[in-house]
This record gives sequence, structure tokens and C-alpha cells, in this order.
Amino acid sequence: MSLQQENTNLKPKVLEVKNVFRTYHHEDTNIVVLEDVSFDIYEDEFVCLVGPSGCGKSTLLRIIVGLDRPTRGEVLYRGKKVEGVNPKTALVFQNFALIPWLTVWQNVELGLEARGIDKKERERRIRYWLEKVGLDGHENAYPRELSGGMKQRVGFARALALEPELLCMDEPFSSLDPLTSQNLREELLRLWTGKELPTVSILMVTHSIEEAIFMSDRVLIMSTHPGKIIRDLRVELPRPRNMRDEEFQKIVDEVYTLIV
Amino acid sequence: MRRNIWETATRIIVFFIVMALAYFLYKERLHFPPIAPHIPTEYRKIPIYTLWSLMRMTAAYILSLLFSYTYAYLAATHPRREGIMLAILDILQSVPVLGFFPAVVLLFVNLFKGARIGVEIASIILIFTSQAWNITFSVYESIKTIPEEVKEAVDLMGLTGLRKFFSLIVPSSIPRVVYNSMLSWAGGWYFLIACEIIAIGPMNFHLPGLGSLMQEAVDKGRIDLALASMLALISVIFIMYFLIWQPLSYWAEKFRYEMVSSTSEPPLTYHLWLRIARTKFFSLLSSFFHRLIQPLLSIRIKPKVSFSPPTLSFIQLSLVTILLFLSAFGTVIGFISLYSSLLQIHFSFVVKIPLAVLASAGRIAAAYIISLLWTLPTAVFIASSEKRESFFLPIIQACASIPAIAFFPFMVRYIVGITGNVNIAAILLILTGSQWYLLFNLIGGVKAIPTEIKQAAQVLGIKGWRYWRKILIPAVFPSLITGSITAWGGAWNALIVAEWITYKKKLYTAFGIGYLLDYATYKLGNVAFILLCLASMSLTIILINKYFWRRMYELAARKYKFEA
Repeated sequence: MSLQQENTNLKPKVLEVKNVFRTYHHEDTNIVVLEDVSFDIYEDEFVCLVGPSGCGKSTLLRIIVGLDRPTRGEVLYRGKKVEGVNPKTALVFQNFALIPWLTVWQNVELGLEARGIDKKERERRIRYWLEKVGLDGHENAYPRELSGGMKQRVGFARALALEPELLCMDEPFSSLDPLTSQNLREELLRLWTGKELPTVSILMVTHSIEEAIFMSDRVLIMSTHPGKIIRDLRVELPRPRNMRDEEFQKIVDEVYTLIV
Repeated sequence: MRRNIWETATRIIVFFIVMALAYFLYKERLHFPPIAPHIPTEYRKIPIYTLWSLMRMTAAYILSLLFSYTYAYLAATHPRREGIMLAILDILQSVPVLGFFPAVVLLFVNLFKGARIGVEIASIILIFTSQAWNITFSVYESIKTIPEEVKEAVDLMGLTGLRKFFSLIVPSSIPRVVYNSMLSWAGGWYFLIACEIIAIGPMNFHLPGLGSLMQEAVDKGRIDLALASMLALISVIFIMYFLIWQPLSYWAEKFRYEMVSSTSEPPLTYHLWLRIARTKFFSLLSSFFHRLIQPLLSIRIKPKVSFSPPTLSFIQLSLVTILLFLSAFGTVIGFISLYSSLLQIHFSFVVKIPLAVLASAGRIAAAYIISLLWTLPTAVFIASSEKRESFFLPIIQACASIPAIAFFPFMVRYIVGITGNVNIAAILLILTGSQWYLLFNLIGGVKAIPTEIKQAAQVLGIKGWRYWRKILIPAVFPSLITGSITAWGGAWNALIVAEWITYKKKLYTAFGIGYLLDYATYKLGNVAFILLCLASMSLTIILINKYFWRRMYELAARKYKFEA
């Protein structure tokens, strides 16, 4: 069977999420967004967090990159507790979060400048990554002049130019049309399987089970109210995968029966 | 380009017609002796006077709301009305409260045959002129920015007329209107004194209230009493903030189209209101109102057929002709009398006007630079946390409401006393009437930076000066411009209290257009000269807005705007 429950990964751990809780106060009541979430990410893994909207997966992602703090529990990165923004990670946003008054080039450059990378190296990286994501020739365009797919390409270039060890993505394809998103998915996978990415592992949040199975090595399924991880599944399908394959559909059906 | 010229031309024509018509009205004379009741300077009068002022403010505010929704709805829903109505609003906004004095006072005092009720109504309308315009603009903007899809959905559901008005227009306007109401109340308090002590030349009307008490106390040099009445004013502002504005602002957030995931706590008073809303009495009351407006809701207004050439019936056509003829007649008469009246004024006054405008503009620029320097960092500091914001907002609102006259004793004693320079005092007084608008807008701008952008900056490690230069300043640029426009408007209006300082019956003046306007109103009582001062001031404001701020605003909208 291609879905396995137990984890037999012997590679070093990149990330450890340990008993993370997150609660919010709202109108006299405590809302538990995350309840006792634990999992690890190993090197060379592409992990997907799947769950219905409102299950706290975005909150979890923000805790992992260090934008938010857990109410209880901790996140370890390479064995060290994450406190504040983790410079080894980068985040790709659902709605791109591009700065509208900066050009494509400047948007990518901003993070590199902030890290004190010198001009020559900056130029090399920007040129390299804009070319890799298929944006060469658009350096001087402003975000509003680009289509949704192009905007997200800038989002990817901006994140990848920082050469993060752990690339985090928050539903990066969900505000794009189906064709564009499928193109982008395949391009990202090509870079990932071709070992062309500077990253060691990828963590992606999505609400689509198909997308998760299509892309990742491991799928973490979350339930809602409170957000909890209810399944940890390994996807052992050979790449490149095809969503129309019988094998692929069988796994999708299996997952659906597991969570319903 | 052609459209632009046409727009400018309409504006100028409207401007002159309004001025001439105003003069036509102003020619009316006062037939009744002024009433100036004795205002006892006693502590025990403070509560009742506070109540009087509060009632006037409330009446003026209700009037402002009624006016704003009617006017803005009419302006925003028909392109043929839009241009002209906005032009008129632009002019009204630029006229300081003193400009409305003669018309309002003469009209109502004569109408009620000199009774106090006439003076009261005049005072309420004067307060209204310091509250209404920004609310009107905010309603207009709200209607204009309703997302197209929402409008289409509402139209598809078949909502028309008043039903559409109450289910779409009013809710859409709530966030902006609540926010602007706070500014309007501050503006109303700021000019309260000018609205409770109405003086035109030798005529003098005093109304019992906090404003006139403060003036009286300052005149007599009773600092203790002035401070006490100021304390009463500040208490009222704080109580109103916590009881009304804070819960209202929380509630208003629900009506935003932009998705803002706010996890902020509702204020305590919000729960209080919720509890009141759940009582039986309240539900009876609301069902009563519901039944009252129900028949109104089903009135169907025929949908406008656009793209068809305007067809006027014979009656409409003749009405329009008569109206045009009458206003043309009024304008001509107005101009003739304006001209003959101007000849009476010493020519030396008239030539002073350009210089006075220039001097005032210089002072305003100085005050603007000062406020820019301190408000931006302060706004960033305050907007960075919800707690800080809810702590500082009422304080800022209170500061913005303190009438200029409250600062007179301090200004005269220390600034004029030590430096011997009225100029510095005038600049500081301009600040009291303008800087808060900038601060308010900047706080709003800093808060409106999308969370994703802030997080992106954080993840990318953009900090310190780089964050300011690359993210923060461009991000708040649109709010900076909007705030600057209102701050400049506030400053021009504040000139009448900044260049004319009275303390212990002594007068300290700084030469400028505010001084000339005060002189014309309080000393000369010459309506033609008042109008001339007003016209040059309004014209300056409109020109600066059109040729400087509007351009900056367009730049802001084009380049520094977050897409939805």
C-alpha cells in the first residue's frame, strides 16, 4: 500500500513542533485555535498541512516561521527553540503580499538588502531567480501590471532568493485560476525534484487534498474546532504524478474515507 | 484636459454666484435689539452650562447627519448633479465659521422676532457648519467605494428606493461616518465659543453655555474658573468617548468591505449596549420604529434611465427658466451692491488683503511642518498596539476639542510675555486647530497597512530606517495627504482664533487674513468687507487644494495604493 501510517525517516530533523496550543480571547470566551499539535519535518521532505478553512493551519504556519507565538508548547528548528522570525525560513503568501509601489526587481531585492547582501551578489540572485520563475523581462513592471500567476511568481522569487532552508507556503495557489495554478505547481515540483531549489524542506498549507497528494511526500490532515492533526500520511507515489491516474485517484479516495 | 477646464470654470462660476447670493442675503438688517444676558462667573453654573452646550452640540450633530446623508446621496447617485454639488461642498468647507455669522444670525433672529429661540437656532446652525462637511464627504466617499459586485447583487435582489438606502448605503457608510463624527465633535467643541458668543460689529448675543463661560472667565482673568470649565469639557469628552464612540467604533468594523481579521476585544461599554439592546423596552422601541418606517420602505423610486437624452417637460422647463432668471437677477443685484459697498471701505484695507493671505499662509506652513515632524512618529507609536491606541485615542480627541481660547492666558502670559512676539503664539494656536487632523489620519493609515505586508517585511527582516523609507512612509502616503488637506483646512479656519487673541479685555493681534476677518466682523461689522476677506480666503484654499493637494492625492492614489 502506498499510504503508510508510521514514520520511518532516519534523516535529520529540520523542524520539531511540540505540543503547540494557541488560544484567542474573544468576547469573554477562549477560542482554541490549535490544540496539542505535534509533528516533525525531516530533511528532503515536502510536507503538506491539509484542513478545512478555519482549522488554524495558517496560524500554525505563522507560529513556525516565528510571526506568532504558541500559547503553550514550542517549536524547535534544528534543535533550537524558535523565538522571533526564523531567518532560515521564508514565507509565500496566499494573496502575494507584494509591495505595490516597488517594481518586481525591487520587491525581490528588498529582503536581500535587509540581510546586508552586497550589491553584486544581490544582482546575481535576483537575475537568477527571476529567470528561474520565468519573469525575465518583467524586472521593471509593477505588481499591479501583472496577472495573478505572475504576481505569485514574484512571491516565489522573493522567497527563494533568500535561499531559505525551510520554505513555507500559505495556500500559494488558491487565489489563482486552475490552469495557472497547475502550471505553477508543476514548475515548482520540477525545481524541487531537480534539486534546483536552495531549500532542504518545504512546508505547504492547503485546503485541497488533491493538491497535497499531488505535491508532497507527507500529508498532515487537520480537523477543525479545535485545530488538531488527526492523520499523518506518507505518499509513496512515484513522480511525476498525474492527477488523472487511477492510482492517484485511489489514494485520494482513501484519504477522503479516512477523514470522513 | 477639456473636462478639467470645464470643471474649473464651473467651480469659479459657482463660487461667484454663491458669494453674490450670500451678499444679497446679507443685505438684510437686524430689526431687533441684541440680547446679552449676564453670564455669572460662578462655579455652580458649570453643570447647567455644560448641559446647554451639550444639547446644542447634539442638535447640530443630528442636523449634520440628516444633511450629510441627503446631500451625499443626491450627489453620489446622479452624475449630472455630482460635479456642481461637490463644488458647492468644497466652497462651504473652506469658509470658516465666522463667514456664516451674518447670514445665519440675521435670518433667525429676525425670523423669531428677537426671541432667544432664534439665537439658539442660529448658534446650532453655526455649530453645524463646523461639524457637517467632513461627514458629508465621508458619506459620499462611502457610496462611491461600494464594490461593484455588491451593488450588482443588491440590484439583482430587487432592492430599490429607501430600502436600498437603509440596507446598502447606510451600512456601507458607517465605518467612515463614525470615524468622522469623532472629528466633527472635536471641531464643534473647538469653535464652541465662537458659536455661543455671536458678535457682529456692535451687536452682541451671548448664550448660556460652557463656551461663553470660558470666554467670560478669560476676559476677567479668572484662570481658576477657566480651568474648571475646561475640566468639565474634558470630562464630557471622555465620558462620551467611552460611552459612545468606543463601542460604536468597535461595532462599525463589521461594515468594512476589506477583510480585516480583527481579534481585538470589544470595549466594556459595548457589552453594556448589547445588554440594553436585549431589554424588552428596547425591543418594543425598535419594533415601533420599524413599523413607523415600513410604509416608507416600500415607496418605489423609478429607476433612472441613463443614456437617454434629457427630456424636460414643459413645467420643468419653465421652472428651470424661472429659477435661472431669479438667480441671475440676484447675482446682478448682489454684485452691484457689493461693488457700491466696497467703495465705502477704506481702500487701504482692500490692498492689505493679498499681503494678509500671504502672512497667514506662512504661519500655516510653519505650523504644518511642526505638526508633520511630531505626528508621524507618534502615529507609528500609537498604532502599533491595540492597547496603546485605545488608551491614546480619547486623549487625542480631548486635546483636539480644547477650544483655542483655553490657551489664551498661557499664550499671552508666557509666549507673548516673554518673547514679546505674537507670531509664535499665533503659530502655536494654529497648531491646536490643525495638528490633530494629521495625527488622526496618520494613525488610520498606519493601521491600514495590510497584515500580510507587515509580515512579509518581518520575514524579510526589513527593520529600522529601511522599514520607514521603503514600507511605512509610502504606505501611509495617501493618509498623509488626506490628513494634510484637512489639517490645512483646519488651520485656515483656526486663523480667526489664532490671529486675534483677547485676554483680560486686552487685544493681541498678528496681521493676517484671520485678523482682517475678525476686524471686519467684530469691529467694522461691514458685510462687504467680510465677504471680500472670505472670498479671498476661500479662493486661496481652493486654489491650493486644486493645484497642490489634489495632484499629490492623485499621485498617492496611483502609486501608493494597496490593491484589493
